[in-house]
Parts: sequence; structure tokens; C-alpha cells
Amino acid sequence: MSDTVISPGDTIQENRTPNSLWADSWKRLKKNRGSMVSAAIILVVVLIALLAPVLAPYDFRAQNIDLVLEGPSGAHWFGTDELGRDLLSRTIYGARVSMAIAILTAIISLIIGGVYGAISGWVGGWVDNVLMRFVDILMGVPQLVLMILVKVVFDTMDIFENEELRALTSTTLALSVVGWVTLARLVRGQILQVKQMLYVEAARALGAKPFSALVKHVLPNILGPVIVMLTFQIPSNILFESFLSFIGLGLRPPYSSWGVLASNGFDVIDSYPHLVFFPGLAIFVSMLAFNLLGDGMRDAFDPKMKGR
Amino acid sequence: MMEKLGSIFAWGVAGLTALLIIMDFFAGGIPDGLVWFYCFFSLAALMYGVIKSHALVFVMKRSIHTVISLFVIATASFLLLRTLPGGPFDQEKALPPAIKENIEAKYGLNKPLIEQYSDYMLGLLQGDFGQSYKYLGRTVWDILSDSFPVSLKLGIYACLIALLFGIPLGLIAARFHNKAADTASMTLAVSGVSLPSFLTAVVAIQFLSLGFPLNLFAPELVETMKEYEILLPVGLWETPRHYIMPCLILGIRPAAFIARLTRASALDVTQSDFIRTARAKGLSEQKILFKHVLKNSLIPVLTYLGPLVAGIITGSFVIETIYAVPGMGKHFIQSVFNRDYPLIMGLTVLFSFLLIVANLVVDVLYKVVDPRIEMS
Repeated sequence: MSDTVISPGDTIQENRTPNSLWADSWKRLKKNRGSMVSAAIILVVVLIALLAPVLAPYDFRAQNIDLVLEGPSGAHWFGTDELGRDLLSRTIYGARVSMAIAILTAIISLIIGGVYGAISGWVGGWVDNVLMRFVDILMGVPQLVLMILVKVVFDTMDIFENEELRALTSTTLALSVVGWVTLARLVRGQILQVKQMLYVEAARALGAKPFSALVKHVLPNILGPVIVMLTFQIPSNILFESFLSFIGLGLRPPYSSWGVLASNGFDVIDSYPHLVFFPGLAIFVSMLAFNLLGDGMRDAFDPKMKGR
Repeated sequence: MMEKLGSIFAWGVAGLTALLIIMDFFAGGIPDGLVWFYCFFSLAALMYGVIKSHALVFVMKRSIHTVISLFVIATASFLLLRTLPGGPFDQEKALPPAIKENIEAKYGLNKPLIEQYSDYMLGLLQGDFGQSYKYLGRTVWDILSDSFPVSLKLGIYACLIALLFGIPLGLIAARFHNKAADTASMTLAVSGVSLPSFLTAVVAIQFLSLGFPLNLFAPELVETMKEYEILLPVGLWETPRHYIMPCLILGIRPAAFIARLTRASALDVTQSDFIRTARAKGLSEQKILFKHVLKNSLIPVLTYLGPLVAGIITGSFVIETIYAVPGMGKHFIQSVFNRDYPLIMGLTVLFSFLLIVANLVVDVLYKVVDPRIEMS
């Protein structure tokens, strides 16, 4: 507040380029060291996932019966599992699956939830009522049951020959079925708020068609909270994926995801804790990075934080 | 007089809760009569709050709404389950048709869908959840009434732990905004949100029951510690010593969520005019924090508590698996695996009921705490 006080004799500095919301937010985000470090970590994890075949020192499926359940060493940094597979390579390949599922789920949830919520909020009236009652039902049913049900049913349908592809698709689908609901609610709420703003009314008064008013004036103004919500959804997707693997519903070895690795190592946790520790660490670090980035972005997008 | 009654109820519930916990931990259990008394007393307190804040009509409306919602959810899940491809008695090795027919006749699966539906709903009205397909000879009601109390106890303790740690942590962070204490408590909270429970459980077992790192160089010492019951046992569900650890682990994530929520809303409240007034008239920071900030910043936390409590008292598969707790969480998963439709339905109805009731209670508390809120 104090920087807006002008005392006599001050020269008023002219702000030549008016800062847009986005530029302002970016500036605030850049100042937040935790968020920038997190963004860097996320970038590294994504790069690792993309470059897995180059980075992994061994084939993630190659078994070496002479080196079973070894602890961390120079040749195998993260040690080996019960079939002598290199845990570092498996963790690197696991990043692929875990990140792919988490990000894909977020995108699908955004598309479904965004469109659904936008229709509900923008059209309003009985359409809104019907659509939201359906969401209420979905929220009232235990999410776990819904998720597993989708997964189990999809797995029995045999759409894909490739086992890995099938598990990937069904897991993503199962997580999306649960994930889109929160986004739909958020988008609807935001649109209801922005809809009443004077600038939207002005645009309508100037003759903008409803659809173009929605796309041009409403959607850009609700993007901030939606991006923040997506950033928070990704870590929860990572967690759900590892949970599904933990209960034996995710991928199966030899394929690898962080959840598969952790649940696999779980059987021998007392004697070989490294098998759970390293994949667990990967889950923890990437979830932490997304959560911190989400925190930073929420603060950066918050107009109340201006000038702080 | 009315004011006094309100505080009697509030302190009564708090005191009774404390008494029950102490009895559970140190007197070896809670007599059933006391549990009933506690339930009635809390209900009376809640009713008093409802009447005093003129929310009776609201609660009645919502109760009717609850019945309708439950009916819709039960119907939707019933139809969803019956239209799914595959059935409960499809196995890898197909059953002989005659046997399968007999099984389906036993559970009424050969009747038309409408008749199955009306049978189920009529049963539900009488509190009959049907027979489990998988646990032969056991009704869904038996299964739920065996496992739900365990999950309820675990969940209540976890919630209490979450509140006990989460709220102070958030308040400290808000009080020392942008200082070291803020950074420290928020680092703790973000880590808590980012830790998968199977990881925390495993680490906790290593430290609290296997005596890590002492067991590496002094195994004899660990043995003695076990003898004197310093280390916690893993598994079983008998005495408080058995359930301290699972409750703690289950409470970590909600505690972290609550801490973040409390901090955000406390920061919001701190910027409001009445706090500035309180500062201006010279109140100490401590007084401002406890008298004004705490009360007002708890309201958003309340909203979160409805779904949280409903989710947590219905059990957690991971915790139950790791600590061998005979709770309800595993049924949520196994019933779907087994396609045990009556059990899935029973769990869904119970969960929805708890969720709706929890949200209703939260709404009423809302009104009691903050009379400005309009009920719609």
C-alpha cells in the first residue's frame, strides 16, 4: 500500500507499457525462488522421461541373475531388483510412464471438465442445473470405486493387443473419470463470476456474439485459476497412479512406472529398503516440485498479491 | 441464560471427547453406554445450535434432499453396475451352465432388471443390504458392521491428529509471514502433501518399531527396548499402542492440507479492517491472533472438513494393508475386483450417506460459528 502514497515533490513516474496480468504474474513468479527451482526440477524430470532410451545405462528389462537384489554401487547406482534388473534404468523409464499418465490425465480432465463446466456456467438455467446434479452424483460416489471400476472394465475389453499400451490407456482413463469433475466445478464457478463483469456486458452490448464473447473475453480471464488447478492435479495423478500400481491394478513388471517399482519393492522392504526408497524418492520429489510450482503460481496470479 | 447453555454444550462436547480418548488409551476401552451418551449429547448440542441459529427449516429441507440424493445415487450405481460388461460369476474357467444358472437364481439375477431393482430398493428401505456374492453366508450388513467401527476409530483419531497439528502449524506460518518460521512450516506442509502414505508408513515402521538406526549397531539394545515396550508393534488392532502409528500416518496428509488452508485464510483475515482496528487500539499480537484471527480463519477449514472426515472414516486401503488393520478400506477395492455387487452398493450407499451428513453438519456448524452466513 505504501508505494501508492505520493508525497509533494515526487515526480510521478509514467508507466509507459501498461503491464498485462500475464506479464505481472510472470514477474511475480520469477521472484519466487522455490517455484523457479521446482519448474527446473519438473523440466529435468520431463527431459529424463523423454530421453529415457539415451540416458538409461541398461535395458530396463534386461535381467542379470548373477546380480540379484544388490545395493547401490558404482555400476548400478540405485542397485538391482529381484531379477537383477538395474533400478536406475527402471526408475528412468518409470518416469516416462508416470509422467505420461499424470500429464495426459490432466489434459483429458481439462478438455472434458473445461467444456462441461463452460457449458454449464455459460448457458445457465436448467442446463446448468441438470449438469451440476450429475456432477453431484459423481462426487457422492466413492472415487476409488469409480476409478477401479473403470479400470477393471476397460481391462476386460481387450481393445489393445499391447499390454503396456492397454494398461496405460485404462489407467489414464480411470484417473480422468475422477479428475474432470473438480475442473468442471472450477470452470463453472469461474465463468459464473466473470460472466457478470461489466466488460463482458459491454462486449455483449457492443454486439459480440455469445460464443465470441465467451472465447475472447471470458476464457482468457479464467485461465489463471485453471492453470493452477491443473498444476495441483498432476501430483495427485502421480499419487493415484502409484496407488493403482500398489493395489496391483497399474502396469505389471517388466514394464515400469514409479508405482510399479515401489509396490514391487514393497514385498521385500525389510531386507532391501532401497527398492522402495529410490522410486519413492522420485515420486516425492516430482510431487513436491509440482505442488510448490502450483503454490507459487497461485500467489502470482492472485491480484491481491500485487506489489508484495 | 441462552448464552450459557451454548457454552455448556460446547465445553461438554469437548470435555466428553477428551474423556473418551483418555478412557480409550488408559482405561482399556470405552463402555458402550458412554458412547451412546456421547452421541446423544453431541446430537443435542447440534440441535441446540440449529435451533439457536434459526436453521431448523434449512436442516429439514436438507434432510429431505439427503433422502432424494441417496435414492438417486443408489439407483445410478445399481444401473451402472448391472449394465457393465462381465458378471460376478464369470471366471477364467467358465462354470457349467447349469451351475451358473443355479447361482444366479439364488441371488435373483435371473429376474428381469426392474424386479431386481425394486427388490433391492425395498430391501434397502428395511436396512437389508443383501447377501455378499463373495463372502458366502455373510450379509453385506455383517461385513459393514464388522469393519466400519474399526475404520471409524482409526479415522477419528487421524482427523484429531490432523487438526491438532495442522491448525497450529498454519497459524504459526501466518503469524510469522515470510519469516523463517513460515518457510519452515510450509516446507513441512508441502512435503506432507507430497509424501505417498506407503512411503511414510514404511519409514515410520523402520524408525518406530524396528529401532532404526539403533538396530544397525546395537541389536541387543533394540531387543531390550522391545521388551520394555518402548518400540511400537506393527500389525494387529488391539490396544492404543497398536493404533498410534497408523493413525499418525493417516493423519499426515490431512494435517498438511489443513495447515496450508489455515495459513491462507489466516493471512486473508489478517489483512481485513477489523484486525487493523484491533492493532490500532493497541491489542497485543497474541490477543489478536487468538481472539480474532483464529476464529475467523477456521471457517474455510470447516468447509474442507466435511469431505475429509467422510473420506477418512471409511478407511484407507494402504494403511490397512501395511498395518493389518481389519477396516473397511480394503472392501472398497476387493469388492470391485470380485464384482461383489451388493457389497459395492452397500459401501457406496454408506459412503454417500456419511458424506452428505458430514456436509450437513459442517453447514450447520458454519452457521453457528458465523451467523452472517446466509443459508440457501
